[in-house]
Amino acid sequence: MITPPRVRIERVGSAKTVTATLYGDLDLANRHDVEQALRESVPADVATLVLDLTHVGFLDSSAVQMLFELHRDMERARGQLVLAMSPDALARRSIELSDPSGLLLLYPSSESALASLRA
Amino acid sequence: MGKPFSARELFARVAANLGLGALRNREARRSAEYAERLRGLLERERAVAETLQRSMLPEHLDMGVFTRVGARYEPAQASMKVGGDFYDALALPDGRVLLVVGDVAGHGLESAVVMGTMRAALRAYVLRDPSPDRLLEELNAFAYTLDRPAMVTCQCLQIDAEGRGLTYTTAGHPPGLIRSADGRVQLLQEPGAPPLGTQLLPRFPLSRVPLEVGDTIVLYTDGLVERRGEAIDAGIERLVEAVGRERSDDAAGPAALAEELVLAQRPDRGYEDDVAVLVASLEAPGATLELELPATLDVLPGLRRTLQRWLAAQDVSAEEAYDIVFASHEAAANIVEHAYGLKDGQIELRCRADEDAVHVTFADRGRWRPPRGEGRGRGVGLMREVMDEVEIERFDGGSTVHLLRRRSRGSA
Repeated sequence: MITPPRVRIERVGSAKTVTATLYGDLDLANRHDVEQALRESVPADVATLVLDLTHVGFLDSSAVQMLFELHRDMERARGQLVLAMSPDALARRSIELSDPSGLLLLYPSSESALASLRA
Repeated sequence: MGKPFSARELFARVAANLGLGALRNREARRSAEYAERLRGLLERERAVAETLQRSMLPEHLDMGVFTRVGARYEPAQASMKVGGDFYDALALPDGRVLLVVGDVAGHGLESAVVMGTMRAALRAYVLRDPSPDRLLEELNAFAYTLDRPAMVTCQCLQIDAEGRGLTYTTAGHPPGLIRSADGRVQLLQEPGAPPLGTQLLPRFPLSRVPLEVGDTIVLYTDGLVERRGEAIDAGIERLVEAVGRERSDDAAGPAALAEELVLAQRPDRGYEDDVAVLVASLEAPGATLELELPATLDVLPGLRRTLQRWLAAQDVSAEEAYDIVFASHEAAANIVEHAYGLKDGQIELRCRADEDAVHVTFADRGRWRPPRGEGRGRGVGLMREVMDEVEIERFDGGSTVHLLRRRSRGSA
Protein backbone atom coordinates (compact mmCIF):
# COMPACT_ATOMS: atom_id res chain seq x y z
CA MET A 1 0.00 0.00 0.00
CA ILE A 2 1.59 3.23 -1.11
CA THR A 3 0.84 6.24 1.05
CA PRO A 4 -1.16 8.55 -1.17
CA PRO A 5 0.42 11.97 -1.43
CA ARG A 6 -1.67 14.65 0.08
CA VAL A 7 -1.42 17.99 -1.61
CA ARG A 8 -3.58 21.03 -0.93
CA ILE A 9 -3.26 23.89 -3.34
CA GLU A 10 -4.59 27.43 -2.86
CA ARG A 11 -4.14 30.77 -4.45
CA VAL A 12 -3.22 33.51 -2.04
CA GLY A 13 -3.52 37.25 -2.55
CA SER A 14 -2.80 37.81 -6.20
CA ALA A 15 -3.44 35.11 -8.74
CA LYS A 16 0.29 35.16 -9.43
CA THR A 17 1.12 33.42 -6.17
CA VAL A 18 0.09 29.88 -5.34
CA THR A 19 0.68 28.01 -2.10
CA ALA A 20 0.80 24.23 -2.19
CA THR A 21 0.87 22.42 1.12
CA LEU A 22 2.24 18.88 1.26
CA TYR A 23 1.54 16.36 4.00
CA GLY A 24 3.31 13.16 5.04
CA ASP A 25 6.60 11.74 3.82
CA LEU A 26 7.96 12.50 0.37
CA ASP A 27 9.93 9.66 -1.16
CA LEU A 28 10.50 7.52 -4.20
CA ALA A 29 7.14 5.85 -3.64
CA ASN A 30 5.08 9.02 -4.13
CA ARG A 31 7.31 11.70 -5.64
CA HIS A 32 5.95 11.18 -9.16
CA ASP A 33 2.36 11.49 -7.99
CA VAL A 34 3.19 14.59 -5.97
CA GLU A 35 5.05 16.15 -8.87
CA GLN A 36 2.21 15.41 -11.25
CA ALA A 37 -0.37 16.86 -8.87
CA LEU A 38 1.71 20.02 -8.54
CA ARG A 39 2.37 20.45 -12.25
CA GLU A 40 -1.27 19.84 -13.14
CA SER A 41 -2.77 22.23 -10.65
CA VAL A 42 -0.33 25.12 -10.77
CA PRO A 43 -1.29 27.40 -13.67
CA ALA A 44 1.42 28.25 -16.22
CA ASP A 45 1.29 32.00 -15.51
CA VAL A 46 2.04 31.68 -11.80
CA ALA A 47 5.00 33.82 -10.78
CA THR A 48 5.64 32.32 -7.36
CA LEU A 49 5.02 28.83 -6.09
CA VAL A 50 5.24 28.58 -2.33
CA LEU A 51 5.70 24.94 -1.38
CA ASP A 52 4.70 24.54 2.25
CA LEU A 53 6.70 21.61 3.64
CA THR A 54 6.02 22.33 7.32
CA HIS A 55 3.88 19.15 7.52
CA VAL A 56 6.44 16.94 5.81
CA GLY A 57 8.38 14.63 8.11
CA PHE A 58 10.82 13.06 5.69
CA LEU A 59 12.33 13.77 2.27
CA ASP A 60 14.53 11.33 0.43
CA SER A 61 17.05 12.17 -2.29
CA SER A 62 14.51 11.62 -5.06
CA ALA A 63 12.10 14.08 -3.42
CA VAL A 64 14.86 16.68 -3.12
CA GLN A 65 15.66 15.98 -6.77
CA MET A 66 12.04 16.80 -7.56
CA LEU A 67 12.40 20.13 -5.74
CA PHE A 68 15.45 20.97 -7.86
CA GLU A 69 13.54 20.14 -11.03
CA LEU A 70 10.59 22.29 -9.98
CA HIS A 71 12.99 25.10 -9.12
CA ARG A 72 14.64 24.85 -12.54
CA ASP A 73 11.31 24.79 -14.39
CA MET A 74 9.90 27.75 -12.42
CA GLU A 75 13.00 29.78 -13.27
CA ARG A 76 12.72 28.87 -16.94
CA ALA A 77 9.16 30.18 -16.85
CA ARG A 78 10.44 33.39 -15.19
CA GLY A 79 8.89 32.47 -11.89
CA GLN A 80 10.32 31.25 -8.63
CA LEU A 81 9.95 28.39 -6.21
CA VAL A 82 9.96 29.18 -2.50
CA LEU A 83 10.00 26.54 0.22
CA ALA A 84 8.58 26.82 3.73
CA MET A 85 9.97 24.59 6.44
CA SER A 86 10.29 25.09 10.17
CA PRO A 87 13.92 25.85 11.19
CA ASP A 88 13.99 22.95 13.63
CA ALA A 89 12.33 20.44 11.30
CA LEU A 90 14.46 17.30 10.99
CA ALA A 91 13.55 16.93 7.31
CA ARG A 92 15.46 20.17 6.62
CA ARG A 93 18.55 18.02 6.85
CA SER A 94 17.66 16.27 3.57
CA ILE A 95 17.56 19.57 1.71
CA GLU A 96 20.70 20.97 3.34
CA LEU A 97 22.64 17.80 2.47
CA SER A 98 21.78 18.03 -1.23
CA ASP A 99 21.91 21.78 -1.49
CA PRO A 100 24.98 23.05 0.34
CA SER A 101 25.08 26.25 -1.74
CA GLY A 102 21.50 27.20 -0.83
CA LEU A 103 20.00 27.24 -4.30
CA LEU A 104 16.56 26.51 -2.89
CA LEU A 105 14.96 29.38 -0.97
CA LEU A 106 13.91 28.23 2.50
CA TYR A 107 11.61 30.21 4.80
CA PRO A 108 10.50 29.14 8.28
CA SER A 109 6.79 29.24 7.31
CA SER A 110 4.57 29.94 4.33
CA GLU A 111 3.39 33.16 6.04
CA SER A 112 6.92 34.48 6.36
CA ALA A 113 7.65 33.45 2.77
CA LEU A 114 4.60 35.38 1.54
CA ALA A 115 5.44 38.39 3.72
CA SER A 116 8.95 38.59 2.36
CA LEU A 117 7.66 38.28 -1.21
CA ARG A 118 5.34 41.26 -0.64
CA ALA A 119 8.09 43.36 0.91
CA MET B 1 -68.96 -60.52 31.30
CA GLY B 2 -67.96 -60.21 27.75
CA LYS B 3 -68.48 -62.63 25.09
CA PRO B 4 -65.84 -65.32 25.24
CA PHE B 5 -63.40 -65.36 22.32
CA SER B 6 -63.64 -68.11 19.89
CA ALA B 7 -60.31 -69.75 19.16
CA ARG B 8 -60.29 -68.17 15.74
CA GLU B 9 -61.00 -64.77 17.09
CA LEU B 10 -58.28 -65.10 19.67
CA PHE B 11 -55.81 -66.23 17.05
CA ALA B 12 -56.72 -63.29 14.81
CA ARG B 13 -56.32 -60.81 17.64
CA VAL B 14 -53.00 -62.20 18.72
CA ALA B 15 -51.83 -62.19 15.11
CA ALA B 16 -52.99 -58.61 14.69
CA ASN B 17 -51.25 -57.57 17.87
CA LEU B 18 -48.12 -59.38 16.86
CA GLY B 19 -48.29 -57.69 13.48
CA LEU B 20 -48.79 -54.35 15.10
CA GLY B 21 -45.94 -55.07 17.45
CA ALA B 22 -43.70 -56.00 14.54
CA LEU B 23 -44.76 -52.84 12.77
CA ARG B 24 -44.04 -50.84 15.90
CA ASN B 25 -40.72 -52.55 16.23
CA ARG B 26 -39.95 -51.83 12.64
CA GLU B 27 -40.96 -48.22 13.11
CA ALA B 28 -38.98 -47.93 16.27
CA ARG B 29 -36.00 -49.43 14.51
CA ARG B 30 -36.49 -47.08 11.60
CA SER B 31 -36.79 -44.03 13.73
CA ALA B 32 -33.76 -45.12 15.70
CA GLU B 33 -31.91 -45.53 12.41
CA TYR B 34 -33.26 -42.20 11.30
CA ALA B 35 -32.13 -40.54 14.51
CA GLU B 36 -28.79 -42.22 14.12
CA ARG B 37 -28.47 -40.96 10.56
CA LEU B 38 -29.56 -37.49 11.59
CA ARG B 39 -27.02 -37.48 14.39
CA GLY B 40 -24.44 -38.62 11.86
CA LEU B 41 -25.46 -35.88 9.46
CA LEU B 42 -25.43 -33.26 12.20
CA GLU B 43 -22.11 -34.57 13.40
CA ARG B 44 -20.82 -34.38 9.86
CA GLU B 45 -22.13 -30.87 9.41
CA ARG B 46 -20.51 -29.93 12.67
CA ALA B 47 -17.23 -31.46 11.52
CA VAL B 48 -17.50 -29.70 8.16
CA ALA B 49 -18.43 -26.42 9.84
CA GLU B 50 -15.56 -26.77 12.26
CA THR B 51 -13.08 -27.60 9.51
CA LEU B 52 -14.42 -24.74 7.43
CA GLN B 53 -14.30 -22.42 10.42
CA ARG B 54 -10.71 -23.38 11.18
CA SER B 55 -9.60 -23.20 7.57
CA MET B 56 -11.01 -19.73 7.24
CA LEU B 57 -9.20 -18.42 10.26
CA PRO B 58 -5.70 -17.23 9.53
CA GLU B 59 -3.06 -19.86 10.14
CA HIS B 60 -0.22 -17.43 10.47
CA LEU B 61 -1.04 -14.16 12.08
CA ASP B 62 0.67 -11.21 10.56
CA MET B 63 2.49 -9.13 13.09
CA GLY B 64 4.33 -5.90 13.29
CA VAL B 65 8.01 -5.89 14.13
CA PHE B 66 7.38 -4.83 17.69
CA THR B 67 3.94 -6.37 18.09
CA ARG B 68 3.58 -10.08 18.79
CA VAL B 69 0.20 -11.60 18.08
CA GLY B 70 -1.36 -14.91 19.03
CA ALA B 71 -4.86 -16.37 18.96
CA ARG B 72 -6.92 -19.31 20.11
CA TYR B 73 -10.19 -20.62 18.72
CA GLU B 74 -12.29 -23.23 20.50
CA PRO B 75 -15.54 -24.59 19.05
CA ALA B 76 -18.55 -24.98 21.34
CA GLN B 77 -19.04 -28.19 23.31
CA ALA B 78 -22.71 -28.54 22.30
CA SER B 79 -22.85 -30.35 19.01
CA MET B 80 -24.24 -27.80 16.58
CA LYS B 81 -22.88 -24.57 17.97
CA VAL B 82 -19.89 -24.26 15.65
CA GLY B 83 -20.30 -20.91 14.06
CA GLY B 84 -18.96 -17.69 12.82
CA ASP B 85 -16.31 -16.38 15.18
CA PHE B 86 -13.36 -14.79 13.42
CA TYR B 87 -10.22 -12.83 14.07
CA ASP B 88 -7.42 -11.38 12.02
CA ALA B 89 -4.21 -9.44 12.44
CA LEU B 90 -2.60 -7.46 9.65
CA ALA B 91 0.67 -5.54 9.65
CA LEU B 92 0.34 -2.63 7.25
CA PRO B 93 3.40 -1.66 5.23
CA ASP B 94 3.68 1.69 6.98
CA GLY B 95 4.13 0.03 10.37
CA ARG B 96 0.56 0.13 11.67
CA VAL B 97 -1.02 -3.09 12.91
CA LEU B 98 -4.70 -3.87 12.49
CA LEU B 99 -6.51 -6.26 14.84
CA VAL B 100 -10.07 -7.40 14.41
CA VAL B 101 -12.36 -9.88 16.10
CA GLY B 102 -15.95 -10.62 15.14
CA ASP B 103 -18.87 -12.96 15.55
CA VAL B 104 -21.47 -13.80 12.89
CA ALA B 105 -24.89 -14.42 14.46
CA GLY B 106 -26.20 -17.96 14.21
CA HIS B 107 -24.37 -21.26 14.03
CA GLY B 108 -23.51 -24.02 11.64
CA LEU B 109 -22.24 -24.05 8.11
CA GLU B 110 -24.02 -20.93 7.03
CA SER B 111 -22.44 -18.77 9.74
CA ALA B 112 -19.04 -20.27 9.03
CA VAL B 113 -19.39 -19.39 5.36
CA VAL B 114 -20.53 -15.83 6.12
CA MET B 115 -17.59 -15.52 8.50
CA GLY B 116 -15.13 -16.50 5.75
CA THR B 117 -16.74 -14.04 3.36
CA MET B 118 -16.58 -11.19 5.87
CA ARG B 119 -12.94 -11.87 6.62
CA ALA B 120 -12.05 -11.90 2.92
CA ALA B 121 -13.97 -8.64 2.44
CA LEU B 122 -12.13 -7.10 5.38
CA ARG B 123 -8.75 -7.97 3.87
CA ALA B 124 -9.81 -6.37 0.60
CA TYR B 125 -11.09 -3.18 2.26
CA VAL B 126 -7.88 -2.84 4.26
CA LEU B 127 -6.07 -2.14 0.99
CA ARG B 128 -8.35 0.83 0.40
CA ASP B 129 -8.50 2.47 3.82
CA PRO B 130 -7.32 0.70 6.95
CA SER B 131 -8.85 3.01 9.55
CA PRO B 132 -11.18 1.05 11.87
CA ASP B 133 -14.20 3.32 11.38
CA ARG B 134 -13.99 3.24 7.59
CA LEU B 135 -13.44 -0.53 7.62
CA LEU B 136 -16.56 -1.20 9.66
CA GLU B 137 -18.56 1.19 7.47
CA GLU B 138 -17.52 -0.84 4.45
CA LEU B 139 -18.17 -4.17 6.16
CA ASN B 140 -21.58 -2.95 7.28
CA ALA B 141 -22.52 -2.05 3.71
CA PHE B 142 -21.09 -5.40 2.61
CA ALA B 143 -23.21 -7.31 5.14
CA TYR B 144 -26.29 -5.93 3.38
CA THR B 145 -25.19 -7.24 0.00
CA LEU B 146 -25.19 -10.90 1.10
CA ASP B 147 -28.09 -13.10 -0.08
CA ARG B 148 -29.26 -13.38 3.47
CA PRO B 149 -28.32 -10.29 5.43
CA ALA B 150 -25.84 -11.22 8.12
CA MET B 151 -25.71 -9.77 11.60
CA VAL B 152 -22.15 -9.48 12.79
CA THR B 153 -20.67 -8.04 15.95
CA CYS B 154 -17.14 -6.77 15.66
CA GLN B 155 -14.37 -4.83 17.33
CA CYS B 156 -11.66 -3.34 15.13
CA LEU B 157 -8.49 -1.74 16.36
CA GLN B 158 -5.43 -0.15 14.86
CA ILE B 159 -2.07 0.24 16.61
CA ASP B 160 -0.22 3.26 15.23
CA ALA B 161 3.16 2.95 13.55
CA GLU B 162 5.06 4.33 16.54
CA GLY B 163 3.27 2.00 18.98
CA ARG B 164 2.25 4.98 21.12
CA GLY B 165 -1.47 4.53 20.80
CA LEU B 166 -4.37 2.76 19.20
CA THR B 167 -7.71 3.74 17.71
CA TYR B 168 -10.72 1.48 17.80
CA THR B 169 -14.37 1.22 17.05
CA THR B 170 -16.99 -1.31 18.04
CA ALA B 171 -20.14 -2.76 16.47
CA GLY B 172 -22.24 -4.41 19.17
CA HIS B 173 -19.28 -6.42 20.42
CA PRO B 174 -18.09 -7.02 24.02
CA PRO B 175 -15.22 -4.69 24.97
CA GLY B 176 -11.62 -5.77 24.45
CA LEU B 177 -9.08 -4.90 27.10
CA ILE B 178 -5.57 -3.59 27.58
CA ARG B 179 -3.31 -4.71 30.40
CA SER B 180 -0.38 -2.46 31.12
CA ALA B 181 3.00 -3.73 32.35
CA ASP B 182 2.03 -2.95 35.97
CA GLY B 183 -1.03 -5.23 35.74
CA ARG B 184 -3.70 -2.53 35.42
CA VAL B 185 -6.52 -3.54 33.08
CA GLN B 186 -8.73 -1.12 31.16
CA LEU B 187 -11.70 -1.90 28.96
CA LEU B 188 -12.09 -0.67 25.39
CA GLN B 189 -15.69 0.27 26.06
CA GLU B 190 -16.31 3.67 24.49
CA PRO B 191 -19.76 3.67 22.86
CA GLY B 192 -19.81 2.20 19.38
CA ALA B 193 -22.43 1.31 16.80
CA PRO B 194 -25.00 -1.51 16.63
CA PRO B 195 -23.93 -4.84 15.08
CA LEU B 196 -23.08 -4.81 11.37
CA GLY B 197 -26.05 -5.58 9.18
CA THR B 198 -28.65 -4.07 11.52
CA GLN B 199 -28.59 -0.41 10.51
CA LEU B 200 -27.97 0.97 7.03
CA LEU B 201 -25.71 3.93 7.72
CA PRO B 202 -24.50 3.87 11.31
CA ARG B 203 -21.72 6.13 12.55
CA PHE B 204 -18.72 4.34 13.92
CA PRO B 205 -17.15 6.62 16.53
CA LEU B 206 -13.38 6.29 16.74
CA SER B 207 -11.78 6.28 20.19
CA ARG B 208 -8.11 6.68 20.97
CA VAL B 209 -6.11 5.08 23.78
CA PRO B 210 -2.41 5.66 24.51
CA LEU B 211 -0.14 2.61 24.51
CA GLU B 212 3.23 1.79 26.04
CA VAL B 213 5.83 -0.89 25.60
CA GLY B 214 4.72 -3.90 27.67
CA ASP B 215 1.01 -3.37 27.06
CA THR B 216 -1.05 -6.41 26.14
CA ILE B 217 -4.29 -6.16 24.17
CA VAL B 218 -6.95 -8.87 24.46
CA LEU B 219 -9.86 -9.12 22.02
CA TYR B 220 -12.42 -11.92 22.22
CA THR B 221 -15.90 -13.11 21.27
CA ASP B 222 -18.84 -13.33 23.70
CA GLY B 223 -18.48 -17.11 24.11
CA LEU B 224 -15.54 -16.42 26.42
CA VAL B 225 -17.57 -14.40 28.90
CA GLU B 226 -21.20 -15.48 28.55
CA ARG B 227 -22.72 -18.01 30.97
CA ARG B 228 -26.30 -19.20 31.01
CA GLY B 229 -28.35 -17.39 33.63
CA GLU B 230 -25.77 -14.73 34.27
CA ALA B 231 -25.33 -11.14 33.09
CA ILE B 232 -22.52 -10.69 30.58
CA ASP B 233 -20.93 -8.06 32.84
CA ALA B 234 -20.14 -10.74 35.42
CA GLY B 235 -18.26 -12.68 32.75
CA ILE B 236 -16.36 -9.59 31.64
CA GLU B 237 -15.48 -8.90 35.26
CA ARG B 238 -14.10 -12.45 35.55
CA LEU B 239 -12.07 -11.95 32.40
CA VAL B 240 -10.62 -8.65 33.66
CA GLU B 241 -9.45 -10.48 36.79
CA ALA B 242 -7.98 -13.36 34.78
CA VAL B 243 -6.14 -11.02 32.41
CA GLY B 244 -4.70 -9.13 35.37
CA ARG B 245 -3.59 -12.40 36.93
CA GLU B 246 -2.20 -14.46 34.04
CA ARG B 247 1.33 -13.30 33.41
CA SER B 248 2.60 -16.09 31.22
CA ASP B 249 2.70 -13.96 28.09
CA ASP B 250 5.90 -12.30 29.18
CA ALA B 251 7.89 -15.41 28.42
CA ALA B 252 5.64 -17.63 26.35
CA GLY B 253 4.04 -15.01 24.17
CA PRO B 254 0.52 -13.92 23.29
CA ALA B 255 -0.58 -17.32 21.92
CA ALA B 256 0.09 -18.86 25.33
CA LEU B 257 -1.89 -16.13 27.06
CA ALA B 258 -4.81 -16.64 24.66
CA GLU B 259 -4.77 -20.34 25.47
CA GLU B 260 -4.58 -19.75 29.20
CA LEU B 261 -7.51 -17.35 29.12
CA VAL B 262 -9.61 -19.90 27.25
CA LEU B 263 -8.69 -22.49 29.90
CA ALA B 264 -9.23 -20.17 32.86
CA GLN B 265 -12.68 -19.06 31.67
CA ARG B 266 -13.95 -22.48 30.57
CA PRO B 267 -17.09 -23.57 32.46
CA ASP B 268 -17.14 -27.08 34.02
CA ARG B 269 -19.30 -28.47 31.23
CA GLY B 270 -17.28 -26.77 28.53
CA TYR B 271 -18.14 -23.75 26.38
CA GLU B 272 -21.70 -23.52 25.10
CA ASP B 273 -20.68 -21.17 22.30
CA ASP B 274 -17.62 -20.74 20.09
CA VAL B 275 -14.75 -18.84 21.62
CA ALA B 276 -12.12 -16.81 19.81
CA VAL B 277 -9.39 -14.88 21.62
CA LEU B 278 -6.82 -12.63 19.95
CA VAL B 279 -3.90 -11.30 21.98
CA ALA B 280 -1.29 -8.74 20.92
CA SER B 281 1.60 -7.49 23.00
CA LEU B 282 3.88 -4.53 22.46
CA GLU B 283 7.47 -5.59 22.78
CA ALA B 284 10.42 -3.43 23.64
CA PRO B 285 12.82 -3.29 20.69
CA GLY B 286 16.00 -5.25 21.48
CA ALA B 287 19.62 -4.35 20.69
CA THR B 288 19.31 -6.06 17.32
CA LEU B 289 16.70 -5.83 14.61
CA GLU B 290 16.33 -8.24 11.71
CA LEU B 291 13.85 -7.82 8.90
CA GLU B 292 13.17 -9.39 5.56
CA LEU B 293 10.92 -7.38 3.28
CA PRO B 294 9.77 -7.61 -0.31
CA ALA B 295 11.84 -5.26 -2.48
CA THR B 296 8.96 -2.97 -3.37
CA LEU B 297 8.41 0.75 -3.03
CA ASP B 298 5.51 0.40 -0.66
CA VAL B 299 7.59 -1.13 2.14
CA LEU B 300 9.85 1.94 2.41
CA PRO B 301 7.63 4.05 4.71
CA GLY B 302 7.20 1.14 7.11
CA LEU B 303 10.91 0.41 7.02
CA ARG B 304 11.67 4.02 8.02
CA ARG B 305 9.18 3.96 10.89
CA THR B 306 10.40 0.62 12.16
CA LEU B 307 14.00 1.85 12.13
CA GLN B 308 12.99 5.08 13.82
CA ARG B 309 11.24 3.17 16.59
CA TRP B 310 14.20 0.84 17.02
CA LEU B 311 16.69 3.74 17.09
CA ALA B 312 14.64 5.62 19.69
CA ALA B 313 14.85 2.52 21.91
CA GLN B 314 18.66 2.52 21.49
CA ASP B 315 18.87 6.06 22.92
CA VAL B 316 19.91 7.57 19.62
CA SER B 317 19.03 11.28 19.42
CA ALA B 318 16.32 12.36 16.99
CA GLU B 319 18.88 14.16 14.79
CA GLU B 320 21.19 11.17 14.55
CA ALA B 321 18.20 8.91 13.98
CA TYR B 322 17.09 11.06 11.02
CA ASP B 323 20.53 10.67 9.42
CA ILE B 324 20.60 6.91 9.95
CA VAL B 325 17.04 6.52 8.67
CA PHE B 326 17.87 8.71 5.67
CA ALA B 327 20.96 6.66 4.72
CA SER B 328 19.10 3.38 5.30
CA HIS B 329 16.19 4.52 3.18
CA GLU B 330 18.56 5.41 0.33
CA ALA B 331 20.21 1.99 0.56
CA ALA B 332 16.82 0.23 0.54
CA ALA B 333 15.52 2.43 -2.30
CA ASN B 334 18.60 1.48 -4.35
CA ILE B 335 17.79 -2.20 -3.86
CA VAL B 336 14.16 -1.61 -4.89
CA GLU B 337 15.20 0.31 -7.99
CA HIS B 338 18.29 -1.51 -9.18
CA ALA B 339 18.73 -4.97 -7.69
CA TYR B 340 15.99 -7.11 -9.12
CA GLY B 341 14.66 -5.51 -12.28
CA LEU B 342 11.20 -6.92 -12.90
CA LYS B 343 11.82 -9.97 -10.76
CA ASP B 344 10.47 -10.27 -7.23
CA GLY B 345 13.13 -10.00 -4.60
CA GLN B 346 13.84 -9.42 -0.96
CA ILE B 347 15.54 -6.77 1.13
CA GLU B 348 17.33 -8.20 4.14
CA LEU B 349 18.11 -5.83 6.97
CA ARG B 350 20.18 -6.41 10.08
CA CYS B 351 20.72 -3.70 12.66
CA ARG B 352 22.85 -3.78 15.77
CA ALA B 353 23.58 -1.14 18.37
CA ASP B 354 26.42 -1.25 20.88
CA GLU B 355 28.04 1.33 23.13
CA ASP B 356 30.09 2.86 20.35
CA ALA B 357 28.04 2.67 17.20
CA VAL B 358 24.93 1.74 15.30
CA HIS B 359 25.41 -0.77 12.48
CA VAL B 360 22.91 -1.19 9.67
CA THR B 361 23.46 -3.87 7.02
CA PHE B 362 21.37 -4.37 3.91
CA ALA B 363 21.64 -7.44 1.72
CA ASP B 364 19.97 -8.46 -1.50
CA ARG B 365 20.28 -11.36 -3.93
CA GLY B 366 19.77 -9.35 -7.06
CA ARG B 367 21.79 -8.69 -10.17
CA TRP B 368 22.70 -5.07 -10.15
CA ARG B 369 21.92 -2.97 -13.13
CA PRO B 370 23.67 0.38 -13.56
CA PRO B 371 21.65 3.35 -12.36
CA ARG B 372 19.94 5.22 -15.15
CA GLY B 373 18.75 8.76 -15.52
CA GLU B 374 19.62 12.08 -14.04
CA GLY B 375 20.46 12.19 -10.36
CA ARG B 376 20.31 8.41 -9.97
CA GLY B 377 22.93 6.90 -7.76
CA ARG B 378 23.39 10.17 -5.84
CA GLY B 379 22.04 8.30 -2.82
CA VAL B 380 25.41 6.68 -2.17
CA GLY B 381 27.18 10.04 -1.95
CA LEU B 382 24.58 11.24 0.54
CA MET B 383 24.94 8.03 2.57
CA ARG B 384 28.66 8.74 2.91
CA GLU B 385 27.88 12.24 4.12
CA VAL B 386 25.61 11.21 6.97
CA MET B 387 27.32 7.97 8.05
CA ASP B 388 30.81 7.40 9.41
CA GLU B 389 31.39 4.30 7.31
CA VAL B 390 29.73 3.04 4.15
CA GLU B 391 30.92 -0.25 2.67
CA ILE B 392 29.32 -1.58 -0.47
CA GLU B 393 30.08 -5.04 -1.78
CA ARG B 394 28.64 -6.30 -5.00
CA PHE B 395 29.13 -9.90 -5.97
CA ASP B 396 27.60 -12.41 -8.34
CA GLY B 397 24.64 -13.39 -6.27
CA GLY B 398 23.75 -9.99 -4.81
CA SER B 399 25.19 -7.21 -2.72
CA THR B 400 25.56 -5.93 0.81
CA VAL B 401 25.67 -2.39 2.11
CA HIS B 402 27.09 -1.84 5.55
CA LEU B 403 26.40 1.49 7.24
CA LEU B 404 28.01 2.56 10.50
CA ARG B 405 27.30 5.60 12.58
CA ARG B 406 29.43 6.25 15.67
CA ARG B 407 27.51 7.45 18.67
CA SER B 408 28.16 11.09 19.46
CA ARG B 409 29.77 11.80 22.81
CA GLY B 410 27.39 12.89 25.50
CA SER B 411 24.50 10.85 24.21
CA ALA B 412 23.56 7.89 26.36
